[in-house]
Amino acid sequence: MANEGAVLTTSGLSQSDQADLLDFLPPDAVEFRPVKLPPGELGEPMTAIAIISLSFVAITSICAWLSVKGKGVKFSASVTAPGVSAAVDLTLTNESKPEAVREQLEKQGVQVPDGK
Amino acid sequence: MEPSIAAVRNSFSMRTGVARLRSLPPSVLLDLAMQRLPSAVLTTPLVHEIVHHACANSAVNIALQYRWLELLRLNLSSPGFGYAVYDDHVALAADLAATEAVFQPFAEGIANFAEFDCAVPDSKIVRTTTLGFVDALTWRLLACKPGVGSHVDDLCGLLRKEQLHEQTVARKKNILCNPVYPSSGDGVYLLGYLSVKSLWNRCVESDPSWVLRPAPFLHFVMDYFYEDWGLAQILMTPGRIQVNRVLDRLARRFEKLLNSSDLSGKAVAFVSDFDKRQRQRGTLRRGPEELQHGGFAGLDLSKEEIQQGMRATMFFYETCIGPCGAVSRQQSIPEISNLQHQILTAAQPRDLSEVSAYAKRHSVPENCAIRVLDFILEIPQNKRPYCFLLDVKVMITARSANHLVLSIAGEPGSERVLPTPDAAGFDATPRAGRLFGVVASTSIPWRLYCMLMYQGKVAALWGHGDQPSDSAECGKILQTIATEMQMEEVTQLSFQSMNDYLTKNELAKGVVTEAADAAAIRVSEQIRKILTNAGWSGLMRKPGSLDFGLRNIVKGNLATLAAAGICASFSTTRPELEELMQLAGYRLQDALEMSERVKQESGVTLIRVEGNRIQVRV
Repeated sequence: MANEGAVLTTSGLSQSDQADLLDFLPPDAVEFRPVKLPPGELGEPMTAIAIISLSFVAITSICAWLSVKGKGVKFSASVTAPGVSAAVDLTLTNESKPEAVREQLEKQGVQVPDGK
Repeated sequence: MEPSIAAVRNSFSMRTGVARLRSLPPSVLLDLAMQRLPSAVLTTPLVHEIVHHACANSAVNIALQYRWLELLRLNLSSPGFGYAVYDDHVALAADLAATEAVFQPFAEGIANFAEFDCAVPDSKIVRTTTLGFVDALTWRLLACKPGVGSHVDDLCGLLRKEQLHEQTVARKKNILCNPVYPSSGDGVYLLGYLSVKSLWNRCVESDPSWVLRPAPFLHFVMDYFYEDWGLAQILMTPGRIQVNRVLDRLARRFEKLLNSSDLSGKAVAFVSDFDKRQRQRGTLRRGPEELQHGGFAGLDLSKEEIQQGMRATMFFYETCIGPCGAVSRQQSIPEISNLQHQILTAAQPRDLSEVSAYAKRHSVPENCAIRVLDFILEIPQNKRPYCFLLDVKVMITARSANHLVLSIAGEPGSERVLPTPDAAGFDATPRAGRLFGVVASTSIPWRLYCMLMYQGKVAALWGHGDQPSDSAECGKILQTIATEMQMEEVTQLSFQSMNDYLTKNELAKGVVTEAADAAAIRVSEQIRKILTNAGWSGLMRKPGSLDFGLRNIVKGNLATLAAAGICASFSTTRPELEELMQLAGYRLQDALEMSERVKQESGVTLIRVEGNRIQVRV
């Protein structure tokens, strides 16, 4: 996945969330980076942050994924884009609409390409 | 409970014995210490971490901890400590990380089996069943919820409610989505869980008279892997750790046990033997128990293996960790004066009371120097028998002469009132302190000691459990906490910083991570081979580019299968299982149809139906 344009970075996703997300997003649009435990520690299963090339198609896919996850789901992410000095924080829910998310990002200076 | 996608990982350090409950906010940790755990907090993720501690307190993990202490001793005694890392130390760190990675699938498999399969008994069976340590832990943690009481049916009912909750189902689904071909230790959860579950399945399927519940069975599995003195002997062979020998022995014992025609007999023999010893006289610490009263039945260990393992462990302690042990061979650099090194390694005068007490405790011969680093290395050994569950920075104020208020700085609404016999010394001015919670036993009885420390002294002390007034045990824990706080203050070191010392160096981190990942890949390969011959061949085939465990072969909602497995921990009869599934929001019929499809497509049996009895194999 090329990271030259705007990217959306998620908070830690469980293994099953990663699998579910890939039902909606093509594998080449996302890269998972695992959050590892330090040596000598055991614990709960691995999470990974997902780095997704920002596009309207990607936003639509994420919203579709969240909508099937059920009520009350919250999802934190941040968006970084060339020419935008600070990362834009996003909170998406199962009720988020792609058009509204795009509008919110564009208000903060992040251009959202249509994508494919 | 709000479903949250963001997952914050709880963890347990097998090296230091400290749990980090990162998924719970500090104010909830205060609630746990007050025995008022909010009903929204799930109990079994806490059980998961404490079960790791139960494994840590074993022959194998004592050996692993000794290897870590050896590394600490070499680091602390090296003239470059604080600014340099040495290749021979990095090699040892890599060996240790690789060895820990070899155990990780089994450690996680055991903890996940405790989390998802060990339902506590209800009043119908509690008087006739054998209990396991997971029963004790789960009961006690459930009793930390407000208004639960202590009746076994109330506790079992609460656990059922928690286990059928969508969060628990999601946690289990997550395990089932772990890869079959992991590339690091962080991905071995499914293979580990299937390893333990396959042992359980084998007992259920091969023994018509099988009555052992999952909790005591898990005790057997844990001891089979972790009380292996033969493995301890391999680990305690001086020099580099023989990681391949460790892996080979572990894999061979797992294979032998899984293929044993008498697996269920071994489990029953172990549980009966343990229970008998407990009832007759109570068991000693592991090690002395086997030495005086012989090895436990069912663990496939000879007397010679036990004796040799113990001898090797003692010899390793004397030559690599204790005051007479080796120190770093690195030479000091004449131009550099390292004050920290001088403090850590300077021989302490024997006439100091602490030094003579240390010499007496450890029978140190006169010709051995006792150094500050020896006191440091003693702390993790004293901590090992206990699980340090809580360590919370709190602000302390007094509300009255016998009520303190604890709160988390910067967290409004986190104030919790603590009744105490003596609140003198505190007033309305907030003062910074630390709250510790220590689980003192993973067997029955079970105790949680809570200590509020202020300026290195105990400001309040309370406990929960069956014998909260065991003053000797409590005194020992307090002493250890006070010594560690003193060490942190005097040396500006913590066990966390010492543990992370080498891997802060990027090159060293690369070497250590690479060794651990390679070991995780090797142990996964061995487990796949063994599970392939145990009915899982359809799952163990190499998937395409995406590897999400059971999702590789299951089409449809994996949560249905996860829920079926959890529900089957409460009942395996069809009508009851149907009802439980319905309560969880799923249909048993969907799970059965899913299982049938998988059977036809991949040959893997996920659910076995025998008349009215339904066995969920994952």
